[in-house]
Amino acid sequence: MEMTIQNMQLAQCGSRSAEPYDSDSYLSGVKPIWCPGCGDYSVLTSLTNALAYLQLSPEQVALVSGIGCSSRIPAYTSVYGFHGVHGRALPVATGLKITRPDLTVLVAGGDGDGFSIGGNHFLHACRRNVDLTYIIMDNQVYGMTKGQASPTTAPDWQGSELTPHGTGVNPFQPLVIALASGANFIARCFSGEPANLAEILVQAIQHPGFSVVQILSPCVTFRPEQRQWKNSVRMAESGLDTDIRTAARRLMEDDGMTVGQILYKGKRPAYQPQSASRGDIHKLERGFVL
Amino acid sequence: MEVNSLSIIVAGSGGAGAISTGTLLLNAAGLGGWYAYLTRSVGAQIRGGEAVAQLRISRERLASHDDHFHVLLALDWKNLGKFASEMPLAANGLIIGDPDQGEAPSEFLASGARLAWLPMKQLAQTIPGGRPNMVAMGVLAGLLGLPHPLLDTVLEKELAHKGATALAASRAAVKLGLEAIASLPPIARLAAPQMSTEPRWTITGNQATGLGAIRGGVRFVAAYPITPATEVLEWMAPALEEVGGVLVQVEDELAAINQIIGASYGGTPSLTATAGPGLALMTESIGLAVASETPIVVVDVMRGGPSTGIPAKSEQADLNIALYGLHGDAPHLVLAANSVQDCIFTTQWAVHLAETLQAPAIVLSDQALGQTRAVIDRPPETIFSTKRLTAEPPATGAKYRRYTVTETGVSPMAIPGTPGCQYTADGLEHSETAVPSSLAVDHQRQLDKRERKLGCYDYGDAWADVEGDGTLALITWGSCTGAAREAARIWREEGRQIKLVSLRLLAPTQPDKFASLLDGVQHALVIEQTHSRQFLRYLQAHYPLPSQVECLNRPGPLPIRSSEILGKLAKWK
Amino acid sequence: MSEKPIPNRSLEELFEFARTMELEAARRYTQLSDMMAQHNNSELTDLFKRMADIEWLHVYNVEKARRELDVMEGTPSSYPGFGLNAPEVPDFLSMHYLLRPYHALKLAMQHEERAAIFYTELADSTENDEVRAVALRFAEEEKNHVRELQQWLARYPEPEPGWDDDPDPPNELE
Repeated sequence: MEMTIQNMQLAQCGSRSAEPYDSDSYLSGVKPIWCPGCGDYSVLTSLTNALAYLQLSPEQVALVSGIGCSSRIPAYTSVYGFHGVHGRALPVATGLKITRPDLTVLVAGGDGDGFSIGGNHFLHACRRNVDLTYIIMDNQVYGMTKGQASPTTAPDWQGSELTPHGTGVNPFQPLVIALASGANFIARCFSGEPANLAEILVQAIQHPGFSVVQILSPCVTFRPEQRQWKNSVRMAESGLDTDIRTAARRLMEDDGMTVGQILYKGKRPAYQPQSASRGDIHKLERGFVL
Repeated sequence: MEVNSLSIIVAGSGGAGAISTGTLLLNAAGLGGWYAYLTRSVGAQIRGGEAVAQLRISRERLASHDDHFHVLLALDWKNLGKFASEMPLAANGLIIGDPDQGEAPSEFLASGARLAWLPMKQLAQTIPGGRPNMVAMGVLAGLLGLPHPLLDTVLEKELAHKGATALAASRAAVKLGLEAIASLPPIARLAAPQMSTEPRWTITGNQATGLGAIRGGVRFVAAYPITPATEVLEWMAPALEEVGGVLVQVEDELAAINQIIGASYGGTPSLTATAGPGLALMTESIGLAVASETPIVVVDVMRGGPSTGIPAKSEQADLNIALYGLHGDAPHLVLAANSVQDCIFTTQWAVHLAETLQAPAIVLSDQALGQTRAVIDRPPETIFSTKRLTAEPPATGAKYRRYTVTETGVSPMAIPGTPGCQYTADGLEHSETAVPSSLAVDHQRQLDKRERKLGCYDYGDAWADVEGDGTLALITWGSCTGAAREAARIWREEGRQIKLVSLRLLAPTQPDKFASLLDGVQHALVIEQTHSRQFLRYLQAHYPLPSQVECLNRPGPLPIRSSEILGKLAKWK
Repeated sequence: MSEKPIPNRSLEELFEFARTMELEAARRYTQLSDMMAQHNNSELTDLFKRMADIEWLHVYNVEKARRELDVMEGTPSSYPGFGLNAPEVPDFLSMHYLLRPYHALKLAMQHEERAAIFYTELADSTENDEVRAVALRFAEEEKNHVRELQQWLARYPEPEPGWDDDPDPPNELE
């Protein structure tokens, strides 16, 4: 048989049949609309890699998102997806996970979706501690609406016509808030480090309860200066902090550019209301009889 | 004189116990074989404000309150006079006051009702632990002619948890009240009940809504408290546990609607209940349920609006937002319960329709239905074969098409976990394969599909309650149906014909069915509890109406009464 | 923070790494080709597609060499993220929708160079003669790729400054 590129690819797939899923198994084939250079491509790659590492059946995984560039991610994957309205990914995912604890439920979105319009859900998702993994692609800007300041934008950024003098507003510190609100797993990553990101995502998915992974993911269109993030991020020195006070101090003192490590890992059990069917509807109805 | 029904009011403030007295009397009447109807009305205070229990007891099934009350018993007066318009008294009615509580307000005396005094407080003080409201219970039970043993039974059932001493004190106080009626002027005698072979139920509209939801198969509820819908959620919390479901209290209405969308996407029939302000917050995501074709049920127990409005009192003014509040062209179901008991059927039917048609359903109830407690016959069990059309794993290589265009408009929905059917449910417009699309052709196809699946479905006869016949029609919906039924009954008793039409399915509209049921009708009176005639404008927009149409409308909180309806009809006699 | 040579890597591990790196490079170039197709940059679409094909050929070559040397197949995905920032795999963040072939070839060349350096360093650091021999062989192959890319690159002059100017503003979508 003539050796063509095509059948060599097939030969490759065939030789690795021991594991049913590779990272390509988790891609739908729908082409992302993200700008070339966007960090979100990298997040998609790391996520599919992590899912392949975990060998999760695509039909047993659900990926829920809201609105924004990064929230387009479910359609690009081959898992079950839900692309909802702006800011409401966490409640959709919460309702799904509570009623379908058998599924691995992931939530994805951006800084605007998660911390501004969806900020209240973020607080309460941390409190509630449902077994979800929340992947926030933070580029400190609203990309879908032509580049406005987001909650994580520096107060002096003057790149938007909407805030020509900068926002003058203190940036939101998502991981400090997450810790204070009760998130059970907290990490910050950089999309320019996809291997590290995949590793952290695997741990986030495996950890019970609500896991928050903030990913610095550059917007090369509206924040071209973020192309330099690859030079300004620094890998966190040591890993896991199970002591909440140490984690709090570390997060409070950090400038937001420390990446690559789990910054807090808690031991709270995940919230999963149990409800075994005890009776039947007739028992309920007897309660109305005079 | 013997009458089929008697209506009484127990009023008081600041822990006087008016509401509990009313509830005990309702239970006693129900046990005795009468039908009963109890609404409560409260002032603006959480504790200590005006509390009014309005109770109607009848040998016949009840649709609403009577126009007038035969007895007003005031444990005290305080600010009660302010609310006199909510408590119309019959001209031959009886006002019972306690001399220790001062003068009766002139607003009540203006009705012409007789005034009598009974020292309830002093009588109660003669018994250690005795309370005036228990004396009042005895007085009212005596006036209504409720047999004494029934009172003992309900006291035992409701008060046993307070201990033997408290129970004995209550019994003694009730007995004093019963004896005291000898000093009061007589009122009409309530006709003896028709005994039923089956025990009756006592249920509120809000509980009935919860029961309908559970009968319909709802197993997940996301709850954010709001007056007057909270009791739906409170009843459902333990009830869902009983049947293997879950209720979660959430951070806000935005979370509530989106959690039920997530749960339903996962295959679990889901519901939330709210009032107008909550519905307003939810509307964006109801649109998401339309676009993503996710079945959900949203109950709106309406109250006075806009904004915080009159939160504890009834109105029907959320009709417009329920019908038209969604952005974009967003076909969805809007249903309205028209009696306390009908809250069961309508909610169950809404779950059935939502699941069958993969669409959101808004169920409109209101404070008047939701917070009314009624004694009713055991409601029939309605069996729907409610089953969502789900997708099976496709043949190898075949691509699952979530939003495939079908003749009915309903396409098989894959439940996560089904191999080979993974798709992304989307609020973005999409192609048949669920890929986001901004193409005109996809938008047109999906809009057509979503409209067709609701438009082509055969809703059967349940879409409207139609009673009677004639060239004259009452057209109404929701809680106004009660007064309309009462008016129609009286009108017919006078030997005339009238047709009553109460729309249960408000959207999608059914123009052909409406036209046929109004065939031959020449005059119609539209009845609604809104200020801006929302229901009339809805009818005018969607339905052919007779040439002569009048509208009887009023905003809340005063209910529309049957006498007003009869007054409007007078010219068509 | 990219993959570091591990001095005591076994032959199996070396082959597994080489194979994964080539495979990830093939995947990445395919993704970059799709990305450029989505943004209507047909020159780069075609170029990255060719790069992907070449990387698939490299995957095949690594497998062939492994079989020739009778080396056991390693365990795939030995840790999460394995290969995602291997030296030969171009990163997404360097992309721009107006990139020219010159940029793309330059980028590819840099990554092939990184791979060559990686294998050379690995050969220098290992105490295992078999591993050293294979690493040097791989290093030599990567250098060949660099030379091929150099020839290819010579056909494209460096674009003038301003190649990334777009007279139109970005679109708003949601």
